Amino acid sequence: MVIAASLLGALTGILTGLVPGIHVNTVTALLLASSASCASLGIEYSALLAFTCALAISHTFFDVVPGLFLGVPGDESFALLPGHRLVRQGRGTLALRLSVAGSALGLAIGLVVVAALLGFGNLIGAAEEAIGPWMFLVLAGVSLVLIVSDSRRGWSLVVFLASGLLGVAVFGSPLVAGGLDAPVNALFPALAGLFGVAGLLFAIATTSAGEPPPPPDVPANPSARGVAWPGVRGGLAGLLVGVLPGLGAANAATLLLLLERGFGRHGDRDAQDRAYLVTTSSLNTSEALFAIAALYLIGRSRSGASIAVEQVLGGIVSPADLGWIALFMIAAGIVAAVIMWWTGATVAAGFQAVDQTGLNWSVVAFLAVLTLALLGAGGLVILICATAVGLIPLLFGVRRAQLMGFFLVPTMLFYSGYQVTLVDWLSLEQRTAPLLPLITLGGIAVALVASVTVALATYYVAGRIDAGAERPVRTNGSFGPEFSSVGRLAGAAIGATAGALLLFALFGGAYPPDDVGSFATLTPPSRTDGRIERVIDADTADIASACRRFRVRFSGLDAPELGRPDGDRARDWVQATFEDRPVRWSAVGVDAYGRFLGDIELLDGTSVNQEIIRQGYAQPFSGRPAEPSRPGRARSPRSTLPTSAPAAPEPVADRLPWDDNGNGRISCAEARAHGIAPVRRDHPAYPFMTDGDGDGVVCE
Amino acid sequence: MTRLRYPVAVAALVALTVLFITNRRYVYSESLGLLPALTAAHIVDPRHAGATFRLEGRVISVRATRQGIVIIETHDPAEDLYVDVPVFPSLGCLPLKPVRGEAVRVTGNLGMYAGQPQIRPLSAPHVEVLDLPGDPVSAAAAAEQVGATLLIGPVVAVDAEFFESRAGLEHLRLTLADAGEPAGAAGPPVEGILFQGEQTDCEVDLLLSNDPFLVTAEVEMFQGAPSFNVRRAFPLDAW
Repeated sequence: MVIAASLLGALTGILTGLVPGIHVNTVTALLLASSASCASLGIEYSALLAFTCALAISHTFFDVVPGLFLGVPGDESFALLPGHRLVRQGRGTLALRLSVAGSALGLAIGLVVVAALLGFGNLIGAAEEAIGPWMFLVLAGVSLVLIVSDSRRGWSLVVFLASGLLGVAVFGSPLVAGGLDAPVNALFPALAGLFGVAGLLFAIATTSAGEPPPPPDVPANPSARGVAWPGVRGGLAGLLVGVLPGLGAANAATLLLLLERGFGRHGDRDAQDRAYLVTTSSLNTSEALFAIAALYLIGRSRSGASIAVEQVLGGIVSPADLGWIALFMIAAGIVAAVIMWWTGATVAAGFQAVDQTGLNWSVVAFLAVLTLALLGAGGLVILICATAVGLIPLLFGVRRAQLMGFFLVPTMLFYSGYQVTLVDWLSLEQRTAPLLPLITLGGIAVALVASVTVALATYYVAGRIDAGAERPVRTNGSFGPEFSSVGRLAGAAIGATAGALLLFALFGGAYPPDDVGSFATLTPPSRTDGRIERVIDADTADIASACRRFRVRFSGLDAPELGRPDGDRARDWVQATFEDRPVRWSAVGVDAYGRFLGDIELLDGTSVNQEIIRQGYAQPFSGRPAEPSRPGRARSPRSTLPTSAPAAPEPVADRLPWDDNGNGRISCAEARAHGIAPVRRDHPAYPFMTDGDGDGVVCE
Repeated sequence: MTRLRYPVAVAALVALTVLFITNRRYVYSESLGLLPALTAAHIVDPRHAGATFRLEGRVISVRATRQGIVIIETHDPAEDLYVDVPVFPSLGCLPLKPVRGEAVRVTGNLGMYAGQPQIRPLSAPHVEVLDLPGDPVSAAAAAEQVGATLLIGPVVAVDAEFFESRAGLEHLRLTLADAGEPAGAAGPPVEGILFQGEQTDCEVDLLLSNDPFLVTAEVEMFQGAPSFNVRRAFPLDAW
């Protein structure tokens, strides 16, 4: 099942990469939202994990394609001009293969760097902790460089601030129920508008029917020498933006370009184009990898895909999980690379044949209908607002990387330490509309079917209209277009909608939230099917259930700790008896360490909890559970296990029980793997950790 | 082409205005009180991820990070749930910051962070302190009740300064006097401290202002004199 899920994830990633305006975050959000139903289909969390990782990687192999062939600037727009120039020269296959080579190198470099970092303990975590107090200055510096280096600095600043204000407004908006906590949240329409619909409308308005077709494609292979260095630098830059908050691949690509110019490394235009395409593809893929690896390296999620991975794994990412994630990514990378390499010429021909304007309109329709179906009118308002902001850089010839202000401004505000003061002063308090748990697999399926149907109809209708339309010529590769009547119509529609919305906002009165009376009708099941995947100790286990992994402490009992003979013996018995067995379980509480307290029974009705007590491997216990199992850590000896041997002396710990890699320091990843996070000042592990913000709590 | 540039830029400006206005005009329904109480079964069922619940429990600890997130650790004894409530700075100031031991009701969305369930409040007023402390006493009267935890005020900070502890932490040292009283009329000003990790940005702003406020504090002896170990400070209108 895991292999099939990897393959399906890779193929889905190819599809989402090929369709302009569809972001991997959208797919992972839908996946998470619908995963509640996947348990009934017999799907395990490992399959969901494989699908997500494969999707995240294969998407990056293909998401450059719409920009190359359709001239649609997506978030990979930094690669548009060089790549599009190659396509216009009849070297589309070469462009695709350069992109494949770059992505493959980015994946390989990313895996090597992550493996190397594991050998250095919590190096990235320590670096991130050290940068923490300076994060505002780091992000402000990067933003300043990006704005000042733009040829139109004034409008760059406007775009940066406008997208930043949009970010502040969207992150605190009640327009989409559930705010950013909802499975499909306000980020979907915001990003779709900023980077998807805006680019599509611009391409529609400026694509010329009279533009001469490119010469016939001549398949060619990139040289190893021309790929190596650009791929390496892109892969390493991906680490930076994958781990730092607020920054994206667009920022890193622009910085690399500036560095290159700063060092005076200019080749001929053609060599620059090819190198740039390789760099950006490598960067894109390695960023996707590092954003997921960041879950283990620094204990934080850095992308939509990494949020999905974190949720599926129950927040605890072990080294073994990281190994599986790497395997899924490698498999997806191989599938995506092979398909793209060998079908490059066919893809190029296919995109030449498709009605580009019709396709762009159909994707706009798809995104609008999907937003309306999943998020309602509020989602559509955000989509329109974000589209208006997203059009500014295209119309004023500013780098689209400035739109990353959407993330950078709220992130900088957060790290500045003055956010609450500013929020209070400007009355920008975040308000979230309540969310009812109504998103189901069926609901998403209906929304998708409706969206695809409308998109197909739009493609047909737009193609018919486009066939009879006269269009002005766009200068190839320039951002100084003349707009067609379609473009003017779209602009007028946006303006009219914005005006109507403003009138509604000003005079429409307060708008009420949803009625929450029906909430109570959705009750969770009293018992859930699952499988005891791994026994941690005699009273704690990981249970695979409902497409997730849960760390569960058996309720009503207390077993001796590992590291003691009776503790090890008890664990061995529970492991031999119950590991890998199907169970039904119900959660009856959550302890202070985030573990669920569970009543577990086998399918024949035997209570696992009672059986462990009956066999004498644990005592009945009705109080607050003690700290999680830690090999070698002493606890009050009150075990009455069936043993003829006298109680063994406490083993002398030759190293810290939570220090898995033995480097003398305890990282957040290690603390979480042992279930002791957040670690407070009075915890024995605290002196061996870095409390970056000095609040007495680490890994909060 | 230039004909479309500025209309779109104006449309974008209008769009941003729309978003900010709608945020301000939103009004919560009273039917939020009908929301079900959070249980462990809800947390396990992925259908409820992001859904809105009511959480009632007792505060185990309150701490503030350097970035201004106030993290309230709660325990609901009825459901045996330990749930964190993170109050991000984007929510603004809490009307009344809960302190350890108080009963609270939080209405918010269910989430998970690093494997720990969280309820993220819909807005700042959705963190409600249920057992409000009794009537406030004056600083002078409180100084005589060493060992008690009291609501004190209204007071003003006649002096407030940060100092760095040996551990490198920045605590806030205060001198509090009863508001409205002539200096020394009700008694001498009382020293106090607000530890880093417990101080929120809103409280610091309040303490450094000249406005009168209320504090909840433990009265202790420090270097032979009564001292207030301040747990929270809040404006008079929040009372």
